[in-house]
Order: sequence, then structure tokens, then C-alpha cells
Amino acid sequence: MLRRVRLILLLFFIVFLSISCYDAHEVDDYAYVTTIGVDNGTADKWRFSFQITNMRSSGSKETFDGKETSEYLTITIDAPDFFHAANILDTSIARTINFRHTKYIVLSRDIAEKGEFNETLGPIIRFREIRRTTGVVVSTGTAQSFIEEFNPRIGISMARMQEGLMEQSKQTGFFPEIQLKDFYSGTKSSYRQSVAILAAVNDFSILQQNAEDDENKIELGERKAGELPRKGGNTVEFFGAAVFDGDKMVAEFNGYETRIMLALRGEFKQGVFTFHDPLKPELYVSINLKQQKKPKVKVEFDGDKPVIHVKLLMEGEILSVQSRIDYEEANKIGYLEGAAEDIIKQQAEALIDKAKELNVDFLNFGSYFVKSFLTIQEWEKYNWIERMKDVKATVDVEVKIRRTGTMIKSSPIKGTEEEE
Amino acid sequence: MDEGKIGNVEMICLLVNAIACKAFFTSVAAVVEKVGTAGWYMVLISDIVAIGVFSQMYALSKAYPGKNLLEIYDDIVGKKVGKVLSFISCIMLFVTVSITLREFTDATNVYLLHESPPGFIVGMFIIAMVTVCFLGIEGLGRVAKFLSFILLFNFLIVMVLSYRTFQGYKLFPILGYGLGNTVRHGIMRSSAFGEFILLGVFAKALNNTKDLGKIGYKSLIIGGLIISIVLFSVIISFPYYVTTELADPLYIMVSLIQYGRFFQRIEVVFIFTWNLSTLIGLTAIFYGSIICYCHVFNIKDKKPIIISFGISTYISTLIVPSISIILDYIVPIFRGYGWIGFYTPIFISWAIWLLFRRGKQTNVEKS
Amino acid sequence: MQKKSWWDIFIYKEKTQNQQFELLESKEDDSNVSSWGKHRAGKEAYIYVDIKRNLRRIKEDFNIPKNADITIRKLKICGHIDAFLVFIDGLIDKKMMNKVVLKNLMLETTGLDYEEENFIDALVDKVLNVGTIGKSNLFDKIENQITNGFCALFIDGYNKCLLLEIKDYPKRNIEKAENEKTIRGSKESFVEDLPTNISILRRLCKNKNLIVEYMNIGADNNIGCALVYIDGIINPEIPKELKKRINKVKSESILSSGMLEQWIEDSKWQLFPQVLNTERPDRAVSFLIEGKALIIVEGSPSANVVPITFFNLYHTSEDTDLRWQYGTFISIVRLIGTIMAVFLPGFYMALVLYSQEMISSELLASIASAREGVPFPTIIELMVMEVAFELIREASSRVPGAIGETLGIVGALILGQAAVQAGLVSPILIIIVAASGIASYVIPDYSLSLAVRVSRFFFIIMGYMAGFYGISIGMFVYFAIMCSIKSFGVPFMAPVAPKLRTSHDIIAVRPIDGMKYRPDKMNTLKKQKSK
Repeated sequence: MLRRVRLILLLFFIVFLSISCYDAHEVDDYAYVTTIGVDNGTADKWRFSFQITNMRSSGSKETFDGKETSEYLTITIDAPDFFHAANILDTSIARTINFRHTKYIVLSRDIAEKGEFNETLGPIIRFREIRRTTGVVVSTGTAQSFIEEFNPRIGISMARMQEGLMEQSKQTGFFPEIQLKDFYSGTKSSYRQSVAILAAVNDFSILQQNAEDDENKIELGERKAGELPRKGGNTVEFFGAAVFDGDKMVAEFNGYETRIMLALRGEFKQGVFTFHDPLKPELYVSINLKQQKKPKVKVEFDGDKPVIHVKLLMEGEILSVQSRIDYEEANKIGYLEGAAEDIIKQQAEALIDKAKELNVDFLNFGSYFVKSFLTIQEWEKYNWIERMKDVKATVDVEVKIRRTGTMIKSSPIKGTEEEE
Repeated sequence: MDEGKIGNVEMICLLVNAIACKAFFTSVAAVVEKVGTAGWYMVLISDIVAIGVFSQMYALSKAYPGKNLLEIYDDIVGKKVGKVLSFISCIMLFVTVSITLREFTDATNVYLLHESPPGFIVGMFIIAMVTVCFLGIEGLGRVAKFLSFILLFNFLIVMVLSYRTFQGYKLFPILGYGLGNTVRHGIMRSSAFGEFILLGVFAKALNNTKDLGKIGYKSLIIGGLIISIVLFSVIISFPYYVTTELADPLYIMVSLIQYGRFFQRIEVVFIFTWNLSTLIGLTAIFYGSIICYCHVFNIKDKKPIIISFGISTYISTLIVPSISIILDYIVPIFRGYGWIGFYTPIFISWAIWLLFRRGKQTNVEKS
Repeated sequence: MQKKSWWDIFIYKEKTQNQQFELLESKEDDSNVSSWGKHRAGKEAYIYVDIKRNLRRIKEDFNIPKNADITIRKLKICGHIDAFLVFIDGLIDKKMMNKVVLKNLMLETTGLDYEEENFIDALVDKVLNVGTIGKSNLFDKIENQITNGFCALFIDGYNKCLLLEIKDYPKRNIEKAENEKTIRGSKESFVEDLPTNISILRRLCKNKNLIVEYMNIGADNNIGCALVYIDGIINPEIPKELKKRINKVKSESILSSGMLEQWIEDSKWQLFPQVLNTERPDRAVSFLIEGKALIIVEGSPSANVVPITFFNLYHTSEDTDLRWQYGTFISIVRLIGTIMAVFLPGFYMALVLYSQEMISSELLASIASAREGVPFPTIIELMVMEVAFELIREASSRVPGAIGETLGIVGALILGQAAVQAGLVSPILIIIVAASGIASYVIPDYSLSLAVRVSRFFFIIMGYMAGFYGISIGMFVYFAIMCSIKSFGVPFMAPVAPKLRTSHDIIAVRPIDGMKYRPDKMNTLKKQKSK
């Protein structure tokens, strides 16, 4: 008996250990691709760029022989198909390319405007290694140059920088947090259209220009990615959004528009709003606004035409008042709230007009109208995505400033030179 | 072989796993393709139909206390026809195991073990199944009870955590492709709950066949709720036209869970739920089909049958060459028309019992 | 009682348990005629009326004069009647023998009437002022008792022998429990001496229904063991079955409770222990009150408890000793430890080799950079470290006291550090191995903690074979086998699987007034503990 059991156990282990472990691969067997990019190619139809890290934490840059190796490299190849490209690259980098930790997919503006997403990178969603939480970015330059610059300048690891960048959407609202699943389902959707993150490489040339005329002055938030007047730090920046109709990119949004778009979609988390002081217009006031509740929406049909009433609810906290006016007081706080409401309402109405003009529902209005339909047949017959141009929309904004920061009052500055 | 006895909770766990493990695979996409956004309550319609059929089975078992379904068939329609009915049940259970196992294998192959040949995955699965079958229904029931609560807890946690991907509007249009369509498919797909006949097959393992009704209703309701929750959360996470594309929507949904930089990629929790629930459920169905087989051919000792059944399952699982054939022909046919195989024996014997036997039984009782 | 073991699966026909016993039976040496077993097998021998024949028989049985420490003291009682005492030198109280027994027998018997019918009774009543006196006319029993430290008195003309208990032999004092330490709770532990152990139990459980049954086991060394239970609480089937199993023990020598445990357990093929071993009398008493039986073997400073479940092995006496909040807390800590000890290395294996997408990018980066330059595949790395850890553990428990700690430090710190610096293993792996190693020490029961260590290797292999799929297959089979274990008819995983009415302290400890019932699985006579 004992012998029989022993024999069976032995056979079991021999057989199983010898035929198993097909999928066992060490961590260092793989080259992990963090970013994928696509451009128009020259040698072949498309040009794919891969950013590959060696998956090492930033702390230990030195290898055994003390030589510093770079943490990432960018490989570019012209190929007719994505996986064809990836497979060919395996032959040169001595490790299998692996997309399990891919964080971003970058489309160049050319590709996006030609609507080639569904031919180039759309199909890769089928591949098991691509996670649907991958971010979708439209680069205003080439994807290749973007990827080459897309790495941390301060000593944090690649993964932390790339993941952290996406998190900033929640803090600022200047770009949408768009994952592949949203983008992909948006291109096929009967409810709405897709947007993507707008990004660019900033060559820091904007800052060096001398002071412009007041008329030409562009407000900071009205700029787009790549145009921010700044210097130093990472050269890449996410700012604004790219709007798609189906899989064709039709418009670029600046920071403010993106923010309002997010607010209308109910996805805005929080962000700093800076605007002219209502009582002293040459100075600025900053408040931090949060969208605590989803917008209140009422929909109805005027005949065949969709009518929508949106009410945005924002809550905020005063961050800074340059004029030192006592907006903390109960009878003055209304000025601030009113000013913020006006600005947001104005921007929202402008954005809705833009949507009607483009006939693209990037505001998710479809998700409200769909509730009036009972069956999928009716809904698809109504063909919502063609109807955006007919929408009649009214926007209400309600801003409540709940907190005033650490100060409940600001005393005037006293000096020999009396100003006030 | 000694059957062993198991308690009510153990039996409920077995049945719920047997019923609900299908929800982890392609059926979700198939349902959404047929009925669109109405999938989550279509399941409840199927469930109600299944509960209706179960009440007939319950009526039979009340009339013949202390006997299992197969013996009841024999009693009602005679040994020969009874054997045929039992054999139909046996085949149905066997095919259920093969098809679900094939779906499981393909899903595992896609998401977990990309390079392993399916034979390896199926082989390991069947070895586990056969080993546990040797321990008898007692061991199986107990391990089901032991793991089920953990699995349920995991499942609920996963559902709660993925609430971030939930967007209410995706449930609309609420009627899907129309109410009539939903009800029709609901009735047809009630075979998803056909595994409740296991309860009749295992009736003798219960301490008391009186509890049969309670167990059956409870497990059908819990199983229905679980499948419905799965469909609900998938439909509310993905628009209907995306769901139909996905091979395993639930798995994709879980992979979307992301809270900050660290708390993401937690499919692991779900893999265990998925694997263990399938293991428990399929082993129960497998064992049920062995019991049916042994009953049909008057075999006392199940042990030699178990291994040969394991081998036949291995072959029948791998016999179909590609997943496309499975998804386009076999699964739709089986899920859509499986109720014929599952319910016909019960219908026939119930009808005969109602028309001819019941009178006699009451007469006997009176005299 | 139905017995099932996991390996039954490989057999076509169910075989009786007996055949397994035969496998282990050694070839008996028939030449040794005076073996106790031989006597037992033969006809029962009664003592003779003639004292000379008795003397000859005793000398023959005890191999006198070859056997040096068996003392035969001839004397005359009532002045003229032949008698002799047989005892073993080291086992009796010499003082008592000289000053009480011999003196009284020689001097005080003069007034007694030898012809009187109840002379022996008179002897017991009037002369022999010794606490315990037994009477017997069977050679077997007498000789047994002599080896137990009794002194046998044969008197000419009577076919009865008096057995005087004047035992005295060196024994260890009651000391602190070494292996099952608790912060609160009693500190004393069982000792090797059986009567002392029983006395401790009696002291802790002053219940008139506490039954102590003595049995002798092992034909060669023939030591005593005591079966202890509380009548009226325990299911009467348990002592019956227990006695049956102890009587069925075929071994010629049972040296310790551990050996007895292996003879009486349900299945020898299971990884998990089916008998609990405790050295703490307070814990033993708590089991008695739950309706379990104890077996205490002479020479083993511990008690075996049957039937048991996993949760008996898992809990310590402290869990209920402390307030329920603290009890629950430490119990949960132990649960985490147990899970870690079993699964952590296997999980690591599966994560790193199969499911890299489930590690967050930064963690993957630190794993990858830790593995940089390590020449071995992960499985070899892990196995080597696990084996090294087991080596250190085993070595430090074998070396004498003070060196043990040094060895631990040298092994763990210096070796580990050096291995990492030499680039042989990755630091993250040392953390995994050390964490699971430490975690296995939280398990209070020694056998269970060994079982856990062994199962860790099983899960490493499963994880290596097929990642998380392999581990879940392993879990299913592992738990199914675990759930099908029975200890004296009680399911091992009760009250979780099967679910039973009173699941009061599985992991979380309930407030003390909530623990009303005795465990349902024991089918005790009195179900309720308190009102």
C-alpha cells in the first residue's frame, strides 16, 4: 500500500512538474512598456513608439559595475500593425515586450484627426495584457517626441510620475481623467462621444517672450497643452482635452473649457478658480471649488427636440484675496459667490454652444435623455448622437462658499504710506 | 460506498455554487447580447420559472419521502422508462460540466495562463474534481460550506469596490430590446438554473428530506440573486454594446478597480472566487452525474466510475477545437434549449404522478 | 466507526483498517518466553497454596538471581508461619518497609490465630498499617503490581497474596509549562508521574463524576495509562471507543503519549493531528468540561485529548482567559499568522512568476531591482531559503540552551545579510521567508504548526506549477481533505463545516456569558454549560 501511494505521489510530481510552468516567467524576463505611441510612418504605414523601463526603483540606479544606466528607453519602429511591431522588437531587446504595466496610449494629433485610432491602437484592447485603465492621450506634436520626453525630471520613479500625473486631474480639473475603457466605449457609444487628454511637450519658449500687450494677453487657463508660460521641470504637460466625433478628433479644449466640461459631466472633483475681484477688478481672487454633488438635470422633449436644464452645484473655500477685502463677512461673501457663478455660467453656456456647433455630445447629455426611452430599439432609432445640435439647454450655477481658510477676517496693512 | 450525510447549509452552498459559477463566464455577454440592458431582471424571470419547475419536483419528493429523484422516476414510470429519464439527467449534468469547464478553461487561458495548453488546465481541474469526489459527498459538502462564505464575502467586496465604475444611465433604456423579448429569453434561459435537479439526486444525503423544499427555494433564490447582481453590475459598468464584446465581463470589471496608486490590480481576490466557486460547483454537478449513471446501470461502487468519468470529461471538454464554435453554437444551444433536457423528466413524471398515482396514493393512505 | 482517509481514493476496494496494522507489525521473537505478552496469551495462572511453589514461580518469572534488584525477603509471621515479601528495590519506601511493614509483621502478628478462617483479613485489619492494600490470586496481576512498586506478601497455606502499596521513587517536581506559555493563567504543567498528574486534575476539577480509568499498554514496557473523563457530560460512546482502540494497540512498547496518539488516531495518512496534546492541566480540565476525554500516559508530561477539532488546536487557554475583546484580538492576529504561514510564499511565487500585472508598478519595480543580479530562478531561491530557515529552526531547537539563541542570530542575521550582499538571494525574498517563518510560530499547537509548515511547501509547488490557478486548485483539494478528517467521529472543521448550532468561538471570542453551550459536535449529554 505504502509503495503504491509513494509511486503515485512520485509520478504525480514528476509528471506535473515536467509538464507545468508554461507561464512561469521571472520578472526580469520581460521588458515593461509604459507608454505606447503612434504616428504616421515613413518606411511603413505607421510609426510605433514604445517607452520601455527596466523596472527599477529610482533609489538604486547603479548596477554591479557601478555604471549608471538610464531607467528607460524609447524605441521607434515603422510597421503596418502594432503587434507586428512589438514582436519584431523582441528580437533586438533580448527581453519579451510586455504591456501589463502600460500606463498611456499616445496618439499624435495627425492620427487623431484622421480618425485612425480604431485602426491603429483600437484593436489592441483585445489583447489581454492591455489594461482598460490605460490613459488615452492626444499629443499635439508627434507621439514619438512626446514619449521621448515623458519621464520624470525629479527623482521619483517612472511609474510614480506617470500615475501621479493622471491623479492631478482630480486636483485641478484642467484635463480629464480618460481611461481606455471610457475612450473606447465612447467611440462606439450611442449615448455620448469620447474625449481624450490633450498633452504636449513644452519647449519653454513661451516664457521667454517679453511682456505682451494687454489685448493679446491670454489667460492662463485659456491656453492649451504646450503653451503654458513656464520653465523647468518635466517638459511634458497635460492640459486641456481633445474632443472626438466617433474616432475623429474634431476640437481641442483649453484648460477652462475642460474644467467646465468636467463639471457639466459631473466628473469635476476640485480645482482653483481665479477671477477678477468683483469689487476691485484689477486684482484677483482665488477660491477652491469642489463639485460635491452631481449636477441636477431635468430633461424634456419639445416635440422632437431635446430640452435640458442643468444646475451645477459647487462648494468652495477662499484661498486668497489680493485686495484684502473682507469677503469673509456674511454680507459680502455673496459678491464672491455671484462672481464665480457668473463666470462659470458664462463658460458653460459657451461650451454648450460649442457642442451644438460641433454637433458632438461630449457633455454626456445623452445619459439623461436615455432615461426617457424604454427600449434600445427606440433609443437607437432616435439616434441621439446626431441630435446634439438641436439641444436647448439652460444652465444654472450655484456656488456656496463654505469656508474661508484659516482666517475669518483680514485686517488692513498699516504703513507710513497710506493707501486706503 | 457510504454516501455520508450533509446538512442543509452545506447543500445550499453546493447548489448555489453549481448554479452561480456560470455567471463568471461568457453567459453574461450572451445574455446582454440577447436582451440588452434588461439582463439583470431577465435572470430573475428565469429564476421564477425554475422555481416553478422545482415546486413540481418538490411535490414529487413530498409524495415519496426518503427517496431521491431517480428512485421516484423508477416508482412513477416504471423501471425501464425511469432509467431513461435518469439517463437524460445524467447526460444533461455531464454536458453541463463539460461545457462550463470548457468556458472556464478558455477564460483561464485568456486571462491567467496564456501559454499553457488547455489540456493542462483541464487536467488539473479534473484531478482536483476526481480527488474530491473520492472523499464523497460529505467532504464535498463540507468544503463547499467552508469556502462558500469566504467566497461570498469576496464577491460582495469586489462588487462594492467596483462601484466607481458604475454609471446609472447605462441601465437605460430599462426594457432592453423590449419586454416580450426579455420574457421569452428569460423563460428559455431558465436552464441556467437547471442544476437544482442535483438536489433531487442528492436527496438521500440529506438528514431529512422534509427540508428539501426549504433548501431548494433558498438556493434558487440566492443563486438567482448572485447571477442578477453580476449582470446588474456588469451592465451598469459597461454600455450594452461593449458588454457583448467581452469574453469575461466580470473579470474586466474587477480589473478596473483602482483606488489610488497602490490599491489597484486586485483581480487576485476575484480569481479565487472565480476558480473556487467553479471547482465546487462543477464537482457537485460531476458527482451528481456519477450518481445518476450508477443508478441507471445499478452500480454499487462509485469509485471505479469516478476516474473513467473524469477521463470522459477531459475528452469531451477538449473535443471542440475553438472557442468560436463553443460560443456560437454549443453554448447558445445548450443554454437556450437545455431546459428541455433538464425539465422534461420532471414534467413527465410529475404529470403521470398527478394523473394516475396520486389517486392511488391517497387511497392507500385512506385504507 | 467509519474511517476515511484521503488516500483511499487510490484503492479500488475498501480495505479494513486491520490490514494496515499488520503492515507495521514486527517479526516477533518467540524465544523470549517470559515476555509479559506470552503470559497474557496463555492460561491465567493462580497462585498456589504451597508457598514453596509460589516462591519458585516468582523466581522463575523474575529471572532471579539474574535479576539483581528484585528483592525477596523471607520472614515468619506469628512466629512460625513462612511468608515472603517480593518488591523492587528502588521503587519502595525503605523506611516504611523496615519500620512499619517488617516490624509489624514480625512482632505484631504473634497474637493472631493462624488457624482462623479470616486470618488474612485480620492481618490487614490489625497488623498492616499501610494505606492501600490489595488482594490477588493471579500471578500476572501480582507481578504487574510488583513492577509498579507494590510489595507482595505471600503467606504459606493461603492462595491469596497481599499487595502493599509503599511506593516511593524519585520524581520531578511540578514545574512551569515550557511549551504552552501563557501570560495569565496557571503556570503548572503535567509531570512524568501518572499519579501526580491525576492528582493535579483532581485538584482542578473537584467533580465526583470525574472518572479515572487505569489501563496498561505496551506488552514490553507495560506502562500505565489513565483514561479521564467526566461521566454525565461526555458522550458515553467516546470512552467505549477509546478503550477499544487502546486495547487494539498491538505495539509491544509504547514509550510516550506521542506514540499512543499515533496508534489511536483515526487516520495515519492525514497531515493534520487528530489528537491534541497539552502539557497544561488547566487546559486539560477545560477540555474535560467540554465533554472530551483525556489519555495520560505514564512517563509523558502531557495529556492527549480526544476528540478534537481544528479550532481546539488553534485556540490557547488565553483566548477565553482574557476578556473577550483582547481574546478576539489575539485570536485574529493568530488567524492572520496562520494564513500567512501557509500561503505567503506560495502567493509570492504565483504573483512574481505568473501574475506580474497584479503587482502595482512601483512594487514590481522594487521586486525587479531586488532581483537584479540574482543568478537563481525564484523557485530555487525560495526553496533554498525555506530549507535554510527550517535548518536554523531545527538546529536551534536541538542545540543546548544558551547556544540556541546565538545560532538563531548567526543563522538569521549574518547568513541572511551575507546572502543578500553576495547577491545570492533578493532581500524581498528574505522578508517573505522570514515573515512566513515567524507567522508559523504563532500557532500554539506544535503538531499543527508542523503541519502548517509542510503545507506551505505544497502551496509553493502549486503556485510554481500554475500560479493562482494552481493555488486555488490546491486550496480546494487541501480544504476538502481537511474537512473530511474526523477525530473520533467528530468532523475536524466543525463547527464551521459542517455548520453546527453552537459556533461560539471559531475565531472571534464571545463575551463569557454568551458561551452557554458545550460544543454541539461532541454530542454531550448535558448541552448547556451555564444558564
